[in-house]
Amino acid sequence: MSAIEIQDLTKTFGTKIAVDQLSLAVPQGSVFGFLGPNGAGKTTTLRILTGLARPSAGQALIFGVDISKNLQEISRRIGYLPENPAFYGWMRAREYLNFCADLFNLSAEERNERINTLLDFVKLNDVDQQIQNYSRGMKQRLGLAQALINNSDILFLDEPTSALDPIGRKEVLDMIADLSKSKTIFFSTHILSDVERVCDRVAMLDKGRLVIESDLETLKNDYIEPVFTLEFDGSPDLFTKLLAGLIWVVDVQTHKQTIVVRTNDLGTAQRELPKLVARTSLPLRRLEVGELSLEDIFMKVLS
Amino acid sequence: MIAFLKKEFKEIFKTYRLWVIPLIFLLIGLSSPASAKFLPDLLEGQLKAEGVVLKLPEPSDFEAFVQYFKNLTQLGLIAIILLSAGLVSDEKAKGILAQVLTKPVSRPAIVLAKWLAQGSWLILSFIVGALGCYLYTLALFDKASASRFLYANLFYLPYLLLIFSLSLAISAAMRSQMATALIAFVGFFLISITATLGQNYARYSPAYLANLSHKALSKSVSFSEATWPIATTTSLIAIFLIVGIWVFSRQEV
Ligand SMILES: Nc1ncnc2c1ncn2[C@@H]1O[C@H](COP(=O)(O)OP(=O)(O)OP(=O)(O)O)[C@@H](O)[C@H]1O
Ligand SMILES: [Mg+2]
Repeated sequence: MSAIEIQDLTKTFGTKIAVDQLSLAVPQGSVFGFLGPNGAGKTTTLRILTGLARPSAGQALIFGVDISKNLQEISRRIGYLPENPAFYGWMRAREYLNFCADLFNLSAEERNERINTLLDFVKLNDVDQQIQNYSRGMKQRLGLAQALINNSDILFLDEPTSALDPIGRKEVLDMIADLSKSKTIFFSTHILSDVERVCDRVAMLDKGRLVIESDLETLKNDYIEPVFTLEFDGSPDLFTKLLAGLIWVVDVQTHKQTIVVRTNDLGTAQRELPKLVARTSLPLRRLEVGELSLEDIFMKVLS
Repeated sequence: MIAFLKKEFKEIFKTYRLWVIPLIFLLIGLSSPASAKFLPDLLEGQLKAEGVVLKLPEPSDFEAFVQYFKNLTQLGLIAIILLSAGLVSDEKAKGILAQVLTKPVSRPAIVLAKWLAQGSWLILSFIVGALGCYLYTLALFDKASASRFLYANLFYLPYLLLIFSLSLAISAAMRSQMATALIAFVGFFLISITATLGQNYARYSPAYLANLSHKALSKSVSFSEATWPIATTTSLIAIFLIVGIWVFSRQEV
């Protein structure tokens, strides 16, 4: 049984179609990256999956249970971190988590132990200020803690890293990696390096429609296209001319003294490119073999 | 329900509501007898300076109390609308509720807890203001009829709770504090004009309670006269809450 199963899910606002016949399955225990540009429908999908919005058509199952039929039961097993987590500003972290624990009827021992563990986990244990004075990063971390108060089996995270500085981002990603050992994590983002760091499966949404769903390895293999970067001391024009007309060269781009060569035949390129460099006798500064980043795949699929 | 009640009471004690609400009522309570006492003197003095000699009747505790209920209707009820317009709508607009509603909670409980907790604080504040008014009137005029004033307050309280419930119910249905306040003002206006429909209809109107409370200050009013307006007020409170909760329960927050 999948942790999340979405079938032909559609959500319209008036004439605007925010989510368009989306079908997806998220296996239990996976870290699922839900990608898409602004306005793709990520938040709308997450709001449906957490019961905050109702689908216009189609259905969604969490652990095989239909959301529209048994939300109370499902809400005990999920945790949700919204795009902009918001709290009662006059509360403090422990107070808010206590309030959340009340909502789940946690027993006294259970709650104390869990709240202490969570405050440690999100590094808010020695913060004693009202939430209204929190920084964005602190709110994000408290938001993660409240999503975990019921020891949820599925975590829904809506762009958990996009408003954070690099350090905050790393912290949150480390926490996600840590949590992925015991939970299914479904998180939306448009930051691709985050996906590369923690996800094992991805889906890409564009204008409400699913454009890709696959595991990260397959995605990379499908779209893999080796890229060579050569940097010279001086103008590389002489070298560019030699590349013209070669069948294993797909594309050549020149930025100042650097040339980026895309190829469809890694072996040949690896053997031939150094020979060509030697023929020009241009002073070479750098030669690098890389692969298309997820960023490039993203741009390619969307265009 | 218990969790939300706890939260509401804590919120009252930890925010401006703890002081602001009783203070508003206390100000109305204290300023009313003061203006009843000193305004005629001021007026006479002003007119004398302009060469007009006018002898206004000596004010009594009756004028003080009349002034008090007038101020309650003009300022108190408006303050109540403004202070309760954000109770639910603001938590929606800020996204606080979305986060809470993904947990196993009952939406009616959220609204009812607010009604109970904030309503209790309102009643307490109202009592503080009334006590202030009574004691200050006693001090200024040397006499003040406790029983008349008490009856007048008892008639007025359900009306005040109705306006509070109206504002809270609209807040539950709306997404913005501004819109809530505007609609609640319109509702308040509509309710208050029902008291001017002519005796045949007006005596069923919740706003008739304000008339009764005025009447009770000068003569004794039998409770039977209040039966109908209290019944309609109670029913309206229930209807407002039910409709507010109904809309809120079906809403995408
Ligand atoms: N309540 C609403 N009423 C009308 N339109 C809406 C509503 N909510 C979302 N939309 C529209 O649906 C589309 C998808 O929005 P959504 O917020 O799901 O995108 P997103 O992928 O989360 O974008 P972002 O990366 O900017 O957060 C957008 O065009 C948005 O304008
Ligand atoms: Mg979004």
